[in-house]
Amino acid sequence: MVKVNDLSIKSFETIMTFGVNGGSFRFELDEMQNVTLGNTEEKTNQTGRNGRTIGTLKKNKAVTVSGTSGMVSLGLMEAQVGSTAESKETTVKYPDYVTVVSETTGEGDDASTTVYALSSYMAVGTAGNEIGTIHVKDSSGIVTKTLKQDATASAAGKFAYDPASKKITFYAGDVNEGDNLTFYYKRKIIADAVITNYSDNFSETLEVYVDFIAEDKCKNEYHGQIFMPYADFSGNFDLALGGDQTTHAFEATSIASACGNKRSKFWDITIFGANVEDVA
Amino acid sequence: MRNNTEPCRVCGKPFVPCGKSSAEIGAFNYREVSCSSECGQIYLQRVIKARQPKTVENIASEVTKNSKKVVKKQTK
Repeated sequence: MVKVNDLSIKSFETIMTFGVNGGSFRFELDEMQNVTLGNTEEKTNQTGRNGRTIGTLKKNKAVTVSGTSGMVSLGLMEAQVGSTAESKETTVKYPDYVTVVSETTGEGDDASTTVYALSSYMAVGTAGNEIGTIHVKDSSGIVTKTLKQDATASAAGKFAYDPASKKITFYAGDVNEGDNLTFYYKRKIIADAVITNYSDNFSETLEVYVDFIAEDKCKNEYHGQIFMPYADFSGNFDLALGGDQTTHAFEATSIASACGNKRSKFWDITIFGANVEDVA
Repeated sequence: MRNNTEPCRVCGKPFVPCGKSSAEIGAFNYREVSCSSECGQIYLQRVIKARQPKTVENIASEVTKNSKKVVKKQTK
């Protein structure tokens, strides 16, 4: 006998996902703004004399679960692009804005002044082309000159770079002390997470559990759990950066579980008391 | 249409550079800086030579060269 009737949903808790068929934990969404369980069925009337309905034909039953997370979930993104996040050594492009400085060596008649610049980080890449191009800007920020990297700063318009010391040297007269330089290069870092959206990987199917808290008319609290054995995540998602809060929306289609010798299902919804005891 | 060529760092001949860095390829990518593997080899040698730490012999030879220049200027 059913012991609970009408419920009001008090809060939506979390979405937990696992690999299908009892696989390992994948990710949890606990800052969900909303979630919708969409159930559809196509019903066609069967008509008889004078077009009167004499029956109905039901087909195309389908279930989708969709929602919006208030935070960008890397785990969800992995499922949507069909890839695995890795913590690894990689390169990032860095825009550097530095000023030319001068250094005087020697004393008296032997004194000589050289101008140079230092990159903020060590540029990496093909030897002799780590930076490639430097834009020299005037005080108004207008590019007045473009310099090309070479093995040595042996001619006008050329500069040399030593990644070990991060020192950029110039041909005499190309730049002056105080000139502003802008250049772009790749620096090597250990990334906390790298997710690659490969063109030939597609979104994944996962086991999904949606937890919520409900209350009946007599203010008894219940927990609810929706279980989807096969939620096929869609690869359609947007990441709108800047402006308003960036949210992470998703949609998954529940695949009817025909695995095993049982009736196939889209989902189970289980309601249980907040303080229910374990059954031995 | 935009001309996507660069002059070779060794011979100056225009070539279409490859955007992949040596790190991605796993070897020195001559196509990023030069028109041919021969020019690439020459360029790499120049870079290695320019970045070599200065040894006592190098400094000594530079001093000798500079002093020779000074002597030439003075004799003129």
